[in-house]
Amino acid sequence: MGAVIYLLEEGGVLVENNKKISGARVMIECLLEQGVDTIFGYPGGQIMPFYDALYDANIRHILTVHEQGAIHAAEGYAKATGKVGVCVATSGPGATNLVTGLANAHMDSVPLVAITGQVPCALLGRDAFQEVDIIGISMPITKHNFLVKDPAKLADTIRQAFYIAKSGRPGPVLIDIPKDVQVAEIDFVPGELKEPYILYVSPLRTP
Amino acid sequence: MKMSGAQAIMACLLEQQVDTVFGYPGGTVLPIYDALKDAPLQHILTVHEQGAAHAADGYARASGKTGVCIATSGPGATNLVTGLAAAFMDSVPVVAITGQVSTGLIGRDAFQEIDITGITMPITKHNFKVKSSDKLVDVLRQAFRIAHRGRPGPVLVDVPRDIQTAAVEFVPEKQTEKKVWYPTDKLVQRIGQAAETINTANQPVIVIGGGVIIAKAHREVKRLAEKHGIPVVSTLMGLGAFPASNPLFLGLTGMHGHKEANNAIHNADVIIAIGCRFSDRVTGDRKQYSEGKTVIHIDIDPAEINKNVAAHIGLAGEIRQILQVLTDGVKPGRQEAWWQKITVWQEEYQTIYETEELTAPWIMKTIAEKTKGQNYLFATDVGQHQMWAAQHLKMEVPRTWLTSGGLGAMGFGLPAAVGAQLAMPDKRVIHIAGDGGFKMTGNELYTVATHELPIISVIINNNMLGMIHQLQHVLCDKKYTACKLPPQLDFAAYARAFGIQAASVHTPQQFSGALEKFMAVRQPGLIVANITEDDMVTPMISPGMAINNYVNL
Repeated sequence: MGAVIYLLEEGGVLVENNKKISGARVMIECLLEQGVDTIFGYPGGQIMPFYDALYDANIRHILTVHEQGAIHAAEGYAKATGKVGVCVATSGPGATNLVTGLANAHMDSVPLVAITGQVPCALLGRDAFQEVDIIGISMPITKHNFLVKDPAKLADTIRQAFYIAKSGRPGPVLIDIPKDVQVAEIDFVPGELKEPYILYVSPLRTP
Repeated sequence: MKMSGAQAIMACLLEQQVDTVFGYPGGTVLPIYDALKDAPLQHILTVHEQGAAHAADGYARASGKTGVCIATSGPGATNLVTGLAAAFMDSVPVVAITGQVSTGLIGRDAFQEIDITGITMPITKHNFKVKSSDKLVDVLRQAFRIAHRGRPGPVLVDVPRDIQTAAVEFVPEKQTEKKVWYPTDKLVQRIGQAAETINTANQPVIVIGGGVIIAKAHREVKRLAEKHGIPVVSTLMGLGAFPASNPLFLGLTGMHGHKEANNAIHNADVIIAIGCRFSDRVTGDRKQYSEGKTVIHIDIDPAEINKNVAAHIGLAGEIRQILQVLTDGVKPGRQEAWWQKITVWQEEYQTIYETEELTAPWIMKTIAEKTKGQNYLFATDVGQHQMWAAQHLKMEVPRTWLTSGGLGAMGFGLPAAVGAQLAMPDKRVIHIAGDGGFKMTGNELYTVATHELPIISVIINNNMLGMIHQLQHVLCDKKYTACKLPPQLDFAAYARAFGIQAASVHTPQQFSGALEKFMAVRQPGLIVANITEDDMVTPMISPGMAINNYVNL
C-alpha cells in the first residue's frame, strides 16, 4: 500500500465581474455549481450569514424540527436520488445533533455534505457560547472533515468536499465554517474542481 | 465476590448511592438491563437517548448528585452526544454507560459499532473503554470520582458486551475519609492582597457564576457581599446562587442582562468574579470588559483564570474556603456614593410590565409571584423565552434554575425537567419552552405521562424561532428566513394525546387561571401561551460589542 496525495488545480474559468462576495454567497455559489437544489437544515446564531445569503438564492430549504431530522432527510434524499445530500446546522448543539446521522451515513456509505456554522476564529478554543469541536467529534464518523479558517480556501474546500463525498466509496463529509469566514469578502472564481491529480506511490514498483 | 460484569456495574452504582438511572436498551446492553431488572434501582425509559442524557443532566443539576444514563452501542451512544456536550459545557456530573460490541468485533465495522470514545473525547471530562473484565469495577469507581470531583463533568464508560457477561470479582470499596482542601500559606497571602484591593475599591462588583452553586458557596458569597455592601450581579448559570430578593442583587449580566447590572460592571473599578468563566455572552467585547478595572478571579479550575479575561489576582481552589479567608480580610462598610449611582440606574431601568396583552415578561413575573415561597424548580429550553425567564423569574436558592447555558441546546428543557422532578419528588418543576425547542424533544411528554410527573409545561408560542427572528431583525436587515414556524401543530391536542391536561391561552387572565388550575393539582399539565411574534428580548447587546452598547430595538 502506498500514499495517495490529492493535488488541486485552480478553477480555470475567467470571470467578468471581479467584485468580492461574502463567504456565505460563496457557499451558495458552490452549492449551485454542484447542482444542489434542496438542502435540509436548522438555523442558529453561527450559521446566520449563510441563511441570510440563502434568502435570495434559488435553493429550496426544508426546515426540520430537529437537526437529526435534517440529516436523516439528507440521507434519504441521497439514497433515493443518488445525488449528494446536503444538510446545514449551526454550531454547538446544532452540529452535535447531526452526529447520529453522520455515523449512519458513514456506516452505509451515503454521499452527504454537512455544513456546520462555527464560532468566529478568534473565539475558537475559548469555550464560547455554542462552541463545540465538531471536527474532533466527527472524525471517526465522517469520510473526511474540514475546518475552513482561511476565506480564500472556502470555495475549493466545498468543491473538494463534494468530490470526496461522491467519489470512490461514498461517505459523509463535514465542513465547519466559522462565522467570520462566512462574512469575509472573497475573490470568487467560479469553476469546477478538475479531476484531482492522484499521486500513487507504491513501494513495490518505482514510479 | 464473583459476579457477572453487568451485576458488578449494578453493585458499583449502588455503592455510589445511585437510585435512578435514565436509559434506552439495545442489543449490546442486554446483559446490563438483565442485571438492572433485579437491582433496587429505578430505571426511567425515555423516548430517545437524548432525553436520557438530558434527564441525567437535569437530575444532577437539581440534586447535586451524579446523574447516570445508559445507552446501547452505535446510534444509542451517538444520540447521547448532545446531552454529554451540554453537561460538559455547564460542568455537570454525569456518568454515561454505553454498551459496545464484543471485544473481538471492535474495529470490524460491526452492527451498531461506533468509536464513541473517539467521538466523545472533546465533550467529556474523561472517557473509558473497558477492554478487560478485571478493570471494570475500578474504571466505574474512577468514573464517578472524576465526574464529581474538582470541576464536575460528564464521564463516559464504554463497556463491550463480552465484558458485561464475563466473570468479575467485586470487593466493596473501603470508605476513605474525604480530605478537606485548605488554601496554602502562599494562597492565603494572595487572598489577603485581594481583600486589600476590595477594601480600597470605590466601585466594587461581585459577578457570580454557576461555580458558586456547584461549590455550595452561596452563604459565603452572601457573607462577603453583605459585610462590605458590594453589589452582586449574576451570569445565566449563577441565578439562584444569590437571593434575588436581597437588596444587594442587581440582576442578570451579559448579552441580555439587566441594564443596572451591566452598568455596574461597566463602571466598576474592581470586579470580583466568583465561580464564573467569563463566557463571551457575559463579557461581550473582552478587551473593553476589563479595561481599566482590577479583576479578582476566584475559581476551582486554574485553567479558567486568565483564559478569557486577564485576572490581576487569580485565586484557584475551593471557593468556600477562599471566600471564608477573603471575607475575614475584608473590612465592614459600604460605598455610599457607588450605591447612589446604582439606585439611580435601578429606578431608571425598572421594568414596566404590559398587562393588557399577553407578553412573556409578564408571564415570567406571574409565574414568579405565584410560586413565591413554595418549592418550585424552573427548567427552561433555549431561546427568547430562556432570556425572559432569566430576566424576570426570581430565584432565591441554588439549584432551582436549570438551563443549558454553555451549549444552549434546544430540546434540553423537557427531559431535564423529567430528571429534575424525579430527583426532587417533594418539589415541582415548571418547564418553560418556546414552540421551536419544545418540538425537538416534545415526545418526552410520553415519559412525563407514564411516570405521572407533576411537571407544568409552559410553551411560549409565537409560531417562530424567536431568537433567530430577533437576530435577523437586528443583524440581517429584517430579512427573516427559516424562522417562521407555521401553526401546523396544535400543542394542546398534542399534550392531550399523551393524556396530559392542556390549555391554550391568549390573555393574561386566561394564563393566570390556567396556571392556578394546574398548580392546584399534582398532575402534569401544559399551557400554550400564545404571544405576538414581534416581541423582542430587551435589553440586548449585539454579539461581540461592549457591555454598555445596547441595541436600539
